Amino acid sequence: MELILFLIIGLTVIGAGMMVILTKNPVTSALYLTLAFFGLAALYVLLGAPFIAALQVMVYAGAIMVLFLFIVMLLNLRDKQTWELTTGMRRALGLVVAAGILLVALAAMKGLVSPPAPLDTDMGSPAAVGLALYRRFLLPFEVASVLLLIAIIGVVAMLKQKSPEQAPEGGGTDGRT
Amino acid sequence: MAFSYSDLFVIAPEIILTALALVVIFVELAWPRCEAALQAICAVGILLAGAAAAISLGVQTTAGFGSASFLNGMVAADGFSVFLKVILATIALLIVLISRSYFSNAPNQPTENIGEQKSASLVSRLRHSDYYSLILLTTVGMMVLASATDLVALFIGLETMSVGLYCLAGIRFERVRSSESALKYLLLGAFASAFLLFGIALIYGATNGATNFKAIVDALQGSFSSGISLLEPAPAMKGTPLLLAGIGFLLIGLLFKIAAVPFHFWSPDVYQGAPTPVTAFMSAGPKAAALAVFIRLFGWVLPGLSTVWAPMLWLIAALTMTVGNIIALAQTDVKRMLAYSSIAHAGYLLLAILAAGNPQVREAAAAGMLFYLTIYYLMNIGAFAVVYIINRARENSDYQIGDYYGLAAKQPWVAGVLALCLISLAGIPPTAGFFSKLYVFSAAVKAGYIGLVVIAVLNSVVSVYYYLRLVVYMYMRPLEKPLAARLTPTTAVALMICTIGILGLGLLPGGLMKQAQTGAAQIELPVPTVE
Amino acid sequence: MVGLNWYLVLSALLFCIGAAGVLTRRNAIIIFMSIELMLNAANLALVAFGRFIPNVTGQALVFFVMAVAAAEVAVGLAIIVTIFKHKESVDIDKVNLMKW
Repeated sequence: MELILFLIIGLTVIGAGMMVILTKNPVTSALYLTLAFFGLAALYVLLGAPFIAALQVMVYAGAIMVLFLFIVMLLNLRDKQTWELTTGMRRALGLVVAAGILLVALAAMKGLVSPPAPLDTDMGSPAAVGLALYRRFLLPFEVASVLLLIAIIGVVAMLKQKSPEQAPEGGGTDGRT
Repeated sequence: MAFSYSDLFVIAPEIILTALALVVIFVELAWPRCEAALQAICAVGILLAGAAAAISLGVQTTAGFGSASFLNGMVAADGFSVFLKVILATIALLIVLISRSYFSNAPNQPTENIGEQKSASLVSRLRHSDYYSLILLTTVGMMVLASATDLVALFIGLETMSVGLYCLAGIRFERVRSSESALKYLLLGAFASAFLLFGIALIYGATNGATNFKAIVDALQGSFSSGISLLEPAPAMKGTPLLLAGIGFLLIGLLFKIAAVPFHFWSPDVYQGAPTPVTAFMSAGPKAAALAVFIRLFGWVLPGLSTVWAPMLWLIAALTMTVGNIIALAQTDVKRMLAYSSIAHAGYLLLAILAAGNPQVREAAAAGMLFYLTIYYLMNIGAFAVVYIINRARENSDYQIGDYYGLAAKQPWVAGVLALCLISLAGIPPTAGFFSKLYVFSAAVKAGYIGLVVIAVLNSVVSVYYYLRLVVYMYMRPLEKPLAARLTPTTAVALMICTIGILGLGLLPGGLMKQAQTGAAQIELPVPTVE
Repeated sequence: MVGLNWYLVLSALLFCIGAAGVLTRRNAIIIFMSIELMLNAANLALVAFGRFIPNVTGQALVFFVMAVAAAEVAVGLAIIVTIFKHKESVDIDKVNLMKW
């Protein structure tokens, strides 16, 4: 039963991942990426990590994907029906590199013994993960807040538009010339 | 206990810098357009942070915390990390000093294309506080990265640093070059981060759930404290495929951050496009922080596997210095030339990592690296500061070498500082650059890398050509275009610090080297106190 | 019972798909999505390892990766928007004013 579920979800994730990089339209890509994120959330449930699964849906599928879709719509890229692939040489090189990565990663897993996972663990519960975050990983947790602060300041600094009161310093094209 | 007051001492510099970043934002809200005050606040705060780092070390040694572990083994509080925090604080201080009036009266650069003309209407209404607080917060990330002794702290520190740098690179968003530089840095940096994270995941699996450096060491020695091993026992000191692949992916991520050769292609473009004070910051800070964690990881955690990683790193080091120097020869753009020169210097610094793989000389190698990093940021920031001054005076959008013809006649002091920095970068004796190379190369010779040191010395000889070419142009060629360089007082102070550092440490390198040796001798790997 | 190897193979495949996307596409937004795919592949490996060891560190690290991804995406999309304002395009080959 679990195996069947895993296979269905796993194949969905792989398929959605392939579609992300194979479709022309960024909006379609973004939607397939959302599907992949949901699939991963389901896998986290199978892996006994309900808290991470919930975060996956909220942060990735919720916040991050909405941001992506919002920007794609804002920039009006959805009408573009071109492939926008890299040139032949670079593309071939890229595929070779990607295949190499896959081979290395698969070779790395040689010699793994897979012990039966304990069934009655509450390791993935919000309480258990929260305790780990606030006790052992207190410092990274605080540094993560610094990171988010950087993102806020950086985005505001980069996207701040000229305000009307600053107009005289800026363009000077509004009828005064 | 999960947390105690002594933990606060250890991260005092980070706390001060974070608080300072917030203060800076609020000060500008209250008193807009008062850059001098902001700069003064930043400078005082950074000095405080540097002092706090030094004091925390003093408190520890006198109170005898000794090898106690702080913050659950996330970061080290040893002399090595304190030395680096002082280096990083000084870098931030110099960058704050040379950034004076970067945003207030930017030169009117000639527009390059339609896009740029259009964007002239979105002239930035940047507040200085955005820039200064980003510098401070990025420095926090670097400090965490430099002192990390846990893969989780390493990852979050590295990302904090990187995201801060992406923002800083793109902060002149009304200039197409700044935006391009940020995009390039972001896409390639995030790509490298994904490799780093995958490497961390594989190491986590291969060491049976260890992320703490000390726990990784224990796991490698086969003494699993608890749980079942996921791996069949591997032949000692050869490592399992999973671990080796993990180290490989991690290595790619770290080599990208220091711009070593197969992963260097981003750096010239990013360095050239980013605002010059930010370029100075990028060339000094991330390199110091990433190399610190690099040497701790490879010299103190993974030396047993050096038979595996050393040959790889040997090749990368040789390629990095050779490619960096040879391409630098062909550059006519000064900022780009300095970018390639900083790639070459990353190659010399990799020698220290290689030498650290040998347990007998690893302390000498770490001390040599600390000394090298100190001198490196002084000469690099000095050089970029002069490039920045000249570029503003010329009002060009590029940094052609022709701008420097006859500089010495018109601006003897500025030209003198640049010449000193370049001579030191080339490693010519009375300057400190000579000793920095000497210490690192001698550690490498002791570790048995004679062939590589020969390559490094040959490379240094090649590099003399392009460094001195610029010096010759400044002193021998006639002035081509009029020049009205304006030196703000704070920039003058920064240049003075660089000059005194390069000359002083060149004549009397002993004191700093002794400090570096004390710091390197104290490198330790703390263990987590709570599970 | 699904073994650890199954999850790791899935993770490796997903990582490889993401890498291929980064290396073959020119649309900056799609490259960025591919990078998210790679980060998610690493997350899957972390949770899977953590499940079978068993150890909660993997899940804690995934939490941090999500925070990092959120920050990176916000900053990255801001940069892409500024590029778009200059160039009316998010094609990375048109973002190459700077050469050797």
